[in-house]
Amino acid sequence: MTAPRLTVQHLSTSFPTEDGLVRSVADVSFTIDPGKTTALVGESGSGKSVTSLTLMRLLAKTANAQVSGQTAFVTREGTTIDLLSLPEPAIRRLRGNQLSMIFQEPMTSLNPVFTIGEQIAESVRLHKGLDRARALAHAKRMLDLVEIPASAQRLHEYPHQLSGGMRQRVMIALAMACDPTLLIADEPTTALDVTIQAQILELMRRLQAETGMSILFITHNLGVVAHHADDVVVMYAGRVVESAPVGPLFAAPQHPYTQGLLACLPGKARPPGQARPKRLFAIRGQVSSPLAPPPGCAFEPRCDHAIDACRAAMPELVNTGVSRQARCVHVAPVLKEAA
Amino acid sequence: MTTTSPPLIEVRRLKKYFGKPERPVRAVDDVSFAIHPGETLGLVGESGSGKSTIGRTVLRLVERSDGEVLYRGEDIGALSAEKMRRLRSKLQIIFQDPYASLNPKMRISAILGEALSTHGLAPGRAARDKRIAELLELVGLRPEHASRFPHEFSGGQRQRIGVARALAVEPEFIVADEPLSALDVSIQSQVINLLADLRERLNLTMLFISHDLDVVEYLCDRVVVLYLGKVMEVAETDALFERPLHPYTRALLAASPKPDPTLKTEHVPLTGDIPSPMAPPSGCVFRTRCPHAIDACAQHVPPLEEVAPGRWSACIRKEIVLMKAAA
Amino acid sequence: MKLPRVIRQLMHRRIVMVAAIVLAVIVVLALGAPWVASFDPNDTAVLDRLKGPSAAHLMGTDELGRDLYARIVYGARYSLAIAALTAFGSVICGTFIGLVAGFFRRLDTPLMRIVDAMMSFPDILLAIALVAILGPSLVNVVLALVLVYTPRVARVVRASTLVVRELLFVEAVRALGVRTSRILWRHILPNLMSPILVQVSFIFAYAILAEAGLSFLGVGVPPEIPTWGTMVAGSQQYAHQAFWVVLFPGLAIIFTALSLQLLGDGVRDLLDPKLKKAA
Repeated sequence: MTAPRLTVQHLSTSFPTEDGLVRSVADVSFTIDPGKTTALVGESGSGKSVTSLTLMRLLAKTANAQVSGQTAFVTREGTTIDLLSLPEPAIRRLRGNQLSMIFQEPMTSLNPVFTIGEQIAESVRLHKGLDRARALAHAKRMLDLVEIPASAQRLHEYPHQLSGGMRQRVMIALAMACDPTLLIADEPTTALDVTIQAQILELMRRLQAETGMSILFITHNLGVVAHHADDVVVMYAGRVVESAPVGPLFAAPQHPYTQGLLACLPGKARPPGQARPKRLFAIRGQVSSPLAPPPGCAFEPRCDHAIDACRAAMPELVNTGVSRQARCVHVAPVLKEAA
Repeated sequence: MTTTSPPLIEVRRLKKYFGKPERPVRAVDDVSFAIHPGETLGLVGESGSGKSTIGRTVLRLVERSDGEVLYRGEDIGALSAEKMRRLRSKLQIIFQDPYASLNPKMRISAILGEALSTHGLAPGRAARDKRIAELLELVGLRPEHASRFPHEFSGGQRQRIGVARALAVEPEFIVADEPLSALDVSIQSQVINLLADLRERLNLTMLFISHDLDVVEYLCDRVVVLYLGKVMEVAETDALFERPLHPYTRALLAASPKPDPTLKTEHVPLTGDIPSPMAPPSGCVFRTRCPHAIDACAQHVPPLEEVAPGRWSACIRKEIVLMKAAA
Repeated sequence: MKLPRVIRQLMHRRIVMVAAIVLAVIVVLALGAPWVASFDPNDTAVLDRLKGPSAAHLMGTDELGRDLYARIVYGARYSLAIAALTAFGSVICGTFIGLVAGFFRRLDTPLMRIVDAMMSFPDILLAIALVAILGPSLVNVVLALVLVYTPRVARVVRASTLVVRELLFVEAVRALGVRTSRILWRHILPNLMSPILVQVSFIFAYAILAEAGLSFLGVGVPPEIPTWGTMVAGSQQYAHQAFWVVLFPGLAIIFTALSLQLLGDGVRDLLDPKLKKAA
């Protein structure tokens, strides 16, 4: 069995604020296998974006984040390094190179005063040391790779001249320029129209098949997760509450939050052939403020299966099956099978 | 709901163009539909479809460029400013952004109280306070919430307050402009249930604008599919989702991933971008991305025709349209 | 008990705190002039003229033997009053014009062209011309300065109105059928308070300087009235012998105007929505 591309263990990120310490990410552990897509799913306050920013070491210095935990990233050369303990120059060599990220809003992620050719070329010149002419040629190849028509002409265009879908393709080209082994995609299609989203997802799938890169896909859209993820990690209030391969997760979710989330989707409301239900399932209440977390399990105030033990202490994340974990008193832990 | 009674709202050949007359942005380009009392009509489309503009134009929050909007048979565009102002109590709107739709400097009691006093409802302090408490409970909040400010509430709660405000003036017709898009998934189902409940209790007629097809399928009785300011298809919800006729509707449905990994979609995504509403393609606006386009599609704008009972489609390739839809 | 966030944030900027304290001291002295000054500001004592600062006369005496300290604190009343009236007057007029121009599209162009025309005159020249036409008096100086600064406020308020007008909650109350007058008063105006407050503090500062300048040039307040400007004007010819007769009024003008500007800067930074923490 090949080693995972990225292993994250007990990652925690907290921010000191005027009103107290905000634990955005607490005790998060997951793995991403080579060539696979792991989806990080959660709603607002789940900590999914902060997790990715922590891994990429992109948190603002003024935020004074307190980070703890270990990671193990297998580089192209075969060495294993901890992203969190790398010195700044080393992480910069990795970023945009072996470890890339694309964001939700392509308009604000691209520099409006440089042509897209220049922006892609910059990354290549920095990490691969190519001269200007070769870098631009490589940039054109990247634009072709992401299926942007008239790529030679587009090289000299500015971001504002492109549509939203095009800009996101450019973002992907930029991220792919140095042949990354891990791509972190933070809600890359949330701001796009449905038909454009389908194109972008299909593109990412094709690129993954061609290059064998891993993808950490952050989203709240379970439809996208169902069709584009191999493994799913569900986050709630900064913690992992469930992780499983995509099929078993949808077929038999173990954590009450995952169950609730799937049950309240109107897309899942009606099994084929049956009448529309009068009421959708709804998870009552809302996420607690990070400054006033519940004493035990974070989901307990909204959970229909809550018992006293849930208020007493935060449940541990335990193995519940083959590649499955859940954080709930009601799940039955199984011993980890031999690899 | 009955389709035999006259429509509550009727939109005829509505047009809204923005910008310069030489090169206008054709946001809404000859759209017609009717909404019957008690019905929920869904308006779906992507960017540039014109769905939001239609919602605002129907309420005269934006002045139309051409066409008519009829309320109970009367053209609301011809009404005086004062008459229109008074009519607004019957025609209300719920907005997409719960954070921006409430004045941050006003308490909830003031926001709801203003709605009441604008139309002379619940006059007097006691009646007003009582009605505000009723409205808050109607949307699942508590009377104590009246004394707070919007920023003290979550997105879902603010959206409920927006609904309460719309209901305060006792409307017959509500335009819901993407009311769920800014909310978390787990909160969306709460608000969907709320809207469905209120619709039934208060016998509301709704125009539900959304890009989320699953929600439209759940909430709406009939659906109008828009593309670049024009109507592509109209049908009852079940029929539309089971058997979409228009090539665009088919592509749209196929592109929306259902949250079930066992459902395989062997769908080839549409190529190309959505054209700009400033330079829409000639003839059928969808032809540049349509897998079935032929030369004739560029010649004339295909009329919206009833190709089967209750099913309207704007496509000249009727043989494609009536063919069994791809599974 | 935690101080309101606004005060806490103000306290983070030391220079703004210092400015606020200096201003407070000046205002207190001005209000408490009868108790603070041991002399009557108009008492002449020719034998004591042009005496330097001493125990008896903290800031010395002017050319007519009047106690400078007393004249400064009484002068503060006039200078501050003129500046305050100017600030409030121009803000009220400017807000009205800006609100109407920003909200009603048809009135925008005509109103703004008038505003532009007025702003094309340099402030001091316009003020001088107006006072010359109206005649020098305290009221006329205030009137002239209000006319000079109103266009400035109108421009800022109009710009903000254009923004606020498009906000979603304004559209929401339009959709409710709320009357236009109420929309302007209850929804637009309260959300203009930030830029208006900033303008108040800046115009206050400009007015202090403008009044001093006008009076110094002899086209401001009549010389009998002891404002800081008339003090400098009246005593300037003795400056080389007795520097304190212009130094202290000058310092008073500088400190007040500077404090007001720093306070205005601080208030503006504080109210800048980009720097505001999300609610």
